[in-house]
Amino acid sequence: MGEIYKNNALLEIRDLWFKFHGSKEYVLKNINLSFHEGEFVLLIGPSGCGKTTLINTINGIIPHVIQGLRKGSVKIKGKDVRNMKLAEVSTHVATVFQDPETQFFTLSVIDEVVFGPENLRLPRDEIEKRFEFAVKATGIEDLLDKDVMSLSGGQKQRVAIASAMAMMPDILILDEPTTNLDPKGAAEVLKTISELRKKTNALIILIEHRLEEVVKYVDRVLVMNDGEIIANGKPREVFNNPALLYEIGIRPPWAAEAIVKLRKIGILSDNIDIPLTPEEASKVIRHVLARKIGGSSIRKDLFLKEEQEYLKLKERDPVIEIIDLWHRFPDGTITLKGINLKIHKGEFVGIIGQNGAGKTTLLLHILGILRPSYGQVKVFGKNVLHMSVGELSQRIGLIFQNPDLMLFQNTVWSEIAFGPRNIGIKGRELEERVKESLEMMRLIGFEKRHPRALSRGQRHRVAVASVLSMRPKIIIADEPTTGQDFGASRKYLELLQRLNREGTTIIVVSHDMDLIARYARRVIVLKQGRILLDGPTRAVFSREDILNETHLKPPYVTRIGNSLRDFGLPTVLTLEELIMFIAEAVLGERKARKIVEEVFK
Amino acid sequence: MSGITDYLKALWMGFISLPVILVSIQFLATQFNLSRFGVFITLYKGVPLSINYIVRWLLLSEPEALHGYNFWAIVITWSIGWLFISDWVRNIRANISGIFSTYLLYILYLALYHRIALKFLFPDSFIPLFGAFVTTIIIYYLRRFKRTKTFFEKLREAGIKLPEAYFRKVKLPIVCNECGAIILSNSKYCWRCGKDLEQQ
Repeated sequence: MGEIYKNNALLEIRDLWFKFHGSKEYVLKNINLSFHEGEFVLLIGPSGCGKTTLINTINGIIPHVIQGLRKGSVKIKGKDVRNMKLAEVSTHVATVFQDPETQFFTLSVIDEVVFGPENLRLPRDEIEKRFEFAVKATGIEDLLDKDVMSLSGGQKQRVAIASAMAMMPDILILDEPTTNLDPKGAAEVLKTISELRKKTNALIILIEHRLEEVVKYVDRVLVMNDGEIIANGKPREVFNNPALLYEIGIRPPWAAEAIVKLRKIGILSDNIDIPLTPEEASKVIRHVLARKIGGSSIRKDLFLKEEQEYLKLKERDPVIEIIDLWHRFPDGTITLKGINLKIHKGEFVGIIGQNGAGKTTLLLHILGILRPSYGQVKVFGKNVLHMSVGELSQRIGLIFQNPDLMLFQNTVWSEIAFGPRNIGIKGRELEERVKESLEMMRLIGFEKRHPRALSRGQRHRVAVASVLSMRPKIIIADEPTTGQDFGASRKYLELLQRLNREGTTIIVVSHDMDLIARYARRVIVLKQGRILLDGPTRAVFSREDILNETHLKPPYVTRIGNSLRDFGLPTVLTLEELIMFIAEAVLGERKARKIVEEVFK
Repeated sequence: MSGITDYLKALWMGFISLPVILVSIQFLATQFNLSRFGVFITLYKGVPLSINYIVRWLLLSEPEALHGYNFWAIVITWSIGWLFISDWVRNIRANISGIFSTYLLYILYLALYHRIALKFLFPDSFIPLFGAFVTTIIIYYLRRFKRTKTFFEKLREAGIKLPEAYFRKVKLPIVCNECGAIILSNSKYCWRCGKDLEQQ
């Protein structure tokens, strides 16, 4: 596939190998790629596969800042990056990272956008021209008179992209620009990126996990694993083989995967084009359902079962009781406005909402870190403000978004023992607790390793183990999947699910609707400090109209299902369910179950 | 736990602040030349003051401290000290225990550190303590009777207008009038039928 790009390439990578100083393994292995002007390329791969290292060889950070052993060549317009000064590379390549704040140098939006060109000592007219171009290309006209720090996450990232575009680069690299954003902010940034395509002739290389949002815009998809490019082609070609992606922990777009599965069970023929968006998938499935059953009704008993489960919750003991909770910050912002809520023993609750909806403030009240302006929070019937830190930490465990914030000891063993030690546990009991946590997190053999020297997934497991050793009855996970690939996220949520089955109450705050839909049994939607909707997961995601009020959308697979409601399809939460319902409608219940189970094995 | 912290705060604050207040009273008396009005405080006599000398004054174990305005200066010192402490540590039990503990701590300080034998049960020394005690009680009752604004009054004062439904007191679970669904929070909409529950 790469052959067609060979001639007159803007960026050409040939036989590239790279390893860091002191490392035995090569991080990049024999990379051969060509890119052309105006191309929009999506680079995907599991965490730690070498994506960021690859882009660092393009933007000159390797070998000019980070050194190591580099073999092969990376040529921009025929000139090797190694033989160019970093300042020269920066006139060709601009990079936007995950966290825009780390890239800001000034306080106002205007200063930020012109900062790059000013540093190139360009004439005033040229700076003005570039400024105008960057502002128009990213659509930030309405933000110009603002302070960068007063902007929302999505706006900050758009300003970061504008500052990169002001350099008029030949190559724009975006390294997971939406990772830290809520759905609204992410949509804003991805819309800006897609608009950029039309307005510039730059080569855009995007690393992104939210495939559904971008896949319709990209020309080419590169799949990377373990330092190698394992697939390189048009989106429909690459996503035609989801098994390859699943193997490396990458989830293809739901639409593509749904159709591949339907092909496998024989409902669709192999020559049907792979859809990339829910709308395209829905169109294909609609055709099949109309042809096979012509609108007959499909099984609806799922709702009833889950409703019963939700209704029975009130019979259980509440572990968290929030009574008329208000919180007003000293600057006058009211973040919680009279929240009343009960969470019961053994629940798996997902809390969703835009940034600023009050999710984190709510968690901080449950943890007794913030004092209510009015109202109270009871944990196991006791006001959290009357509980000591030790008492509270034995009941509630908090897992941060970034595991590194929780790791500060020199060995995994002492990291896990830290909590229990602090509440006076020692000797045999301490050892038992640590051993139990190590076993649960599959960390046996890592006891003497330095936590920071582990991979991100392993560090996450150490962070969870350090919480588990306190034997908490409630675990709160704040954005547990940020920056992780699908495989790692899924493993992590499966772990929480296992703990939930063993009786631990789990509360997960996340922007990832797919994971919330799959694992949470109750969903609470927050909007501007109030609860907008609270109910069984399926019922909540079936109310697209209400979710729209807070700019949230149900998971993609649910959206495909919801668009087929006129065929009697109930709200689906997972791909398995969607395929099962379609297969039942087409093949009959008994036959469908057997075939679908086989396909998903 | 917070009771112990409050107690330690009161004790530490008492131990540190009383010598400072006593020396300040002496300083002000000299500065404003109160001797014109016949008010003589004779803690400072031109030689540097030592900590143990000040502490002995505070405990009234120095014969000179018992005379005339010196005595009242010490009563005022203890009272002012606990006026500040009561305003800072809002826990009456911790404050009262703090008074007696500070007294005992001073005695221990002199006995152990300076090996000074004391007549600490001398009845005069209880008068300043009584002053501190009375101040604490007065502050406590003043605060109790002083009406503080509620959170909602403060909101109203700040001109913040929110929908009436936000202030409604609710008892969980809520039952939807439309479909009979049970809701375990005061959510705006019913999860089953989508009815706006704030209007119900």
